[in-house]
Amino acid sequence: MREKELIKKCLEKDKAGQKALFDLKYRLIYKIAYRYLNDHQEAEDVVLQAFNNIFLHLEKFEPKEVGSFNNWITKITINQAYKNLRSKNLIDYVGSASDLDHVQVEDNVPFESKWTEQINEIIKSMPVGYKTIFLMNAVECYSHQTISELLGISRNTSKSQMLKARKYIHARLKVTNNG
Amino acid sequence: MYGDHLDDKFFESQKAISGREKIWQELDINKPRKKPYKTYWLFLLGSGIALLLTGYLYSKYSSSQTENEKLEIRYAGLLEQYNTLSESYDKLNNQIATTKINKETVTDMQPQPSIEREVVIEYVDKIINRTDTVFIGVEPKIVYEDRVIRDTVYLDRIVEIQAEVITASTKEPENKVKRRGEELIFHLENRTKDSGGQE
Repeated sequence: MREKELIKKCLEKDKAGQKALFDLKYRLIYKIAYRYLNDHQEAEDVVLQAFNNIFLHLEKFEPKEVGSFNNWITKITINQAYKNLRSKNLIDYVGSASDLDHVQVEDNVPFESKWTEQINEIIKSMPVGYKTIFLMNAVECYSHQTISELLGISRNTSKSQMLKARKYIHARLKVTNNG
Repeated sequence: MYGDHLDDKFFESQKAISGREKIWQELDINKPRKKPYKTYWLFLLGSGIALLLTGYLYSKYSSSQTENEKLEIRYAGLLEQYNTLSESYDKLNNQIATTKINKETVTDMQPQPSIEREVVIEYVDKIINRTDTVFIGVEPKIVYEDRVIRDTVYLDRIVEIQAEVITASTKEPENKVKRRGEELIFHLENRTKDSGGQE
């Protein structure tokens, strides 16, 4: 309810309303940006650009269901982060993944909470190409179709990148646990 | 969730708060309208006006040039027409002069008509009864004969005028003529003398 009111105030160009919405969504947007970029300075740039886009295109937002505003601003932020990465030529979908060919991905492996910290570190060290697809698919729960549309890549590329990301995590987890 | 390790401690740190305020200040909605945009639009507007003005002047110049060419062609045509007309005028003047000379020659060659006026007094016998004396009056009739002589043709024109006017002009001796009313009566004596004894 509060979110709706704030959006309304923002559409009326109400300064206090804009500041309140900014404060309300700042953490969410910052976390998403940092998740993809792993750099506070880069994340701040993306947050700035994302908020600019949000306020600029707010009238285009159509509330459909609860949480749709969060989904909308998440998409904007990811898009902005992706643009940022691409402008720096950090995305390489081909990558040197030959060392992952032998890795077997096992399904239905029970998740152990002790891995959380390890997985976070592994994701951080992951090549940007895998990581972007992995985060979008596994964390944001976007389908490969949506990812392909958002990033302008083919659906197969998205799928193959996801597989590589999983292999990467498996391989690193095994190494960590075995070591 | 990955990324959630950025906990409240991080966002409440001084660095994060100042970063957040910085981002808020730098948002487009908090920035005054940039002047460069204004300057840019003014520059565009100025350029547009300059371009339009140049185009207008160029079109005007080219149209005036075309008009000048048209006028020159028209002027040349008129000049040619003027030359032709002045030649015709000279020719006509010459013809008029020749005609005048010819006319004068013809006029000189023609005999001038002359008018001679002669005063002829004709006498008409008239018997006037007066109580016991019989007068034979003579009524003068003055006839002017104008003779128009042209070559061999003579035209006679008779003009009648009043006797008294003629009397004054002809200055007949008064002793010979007596005025009675509007008639002129000669004494028988004189008349007899003049006509050789007629009574």
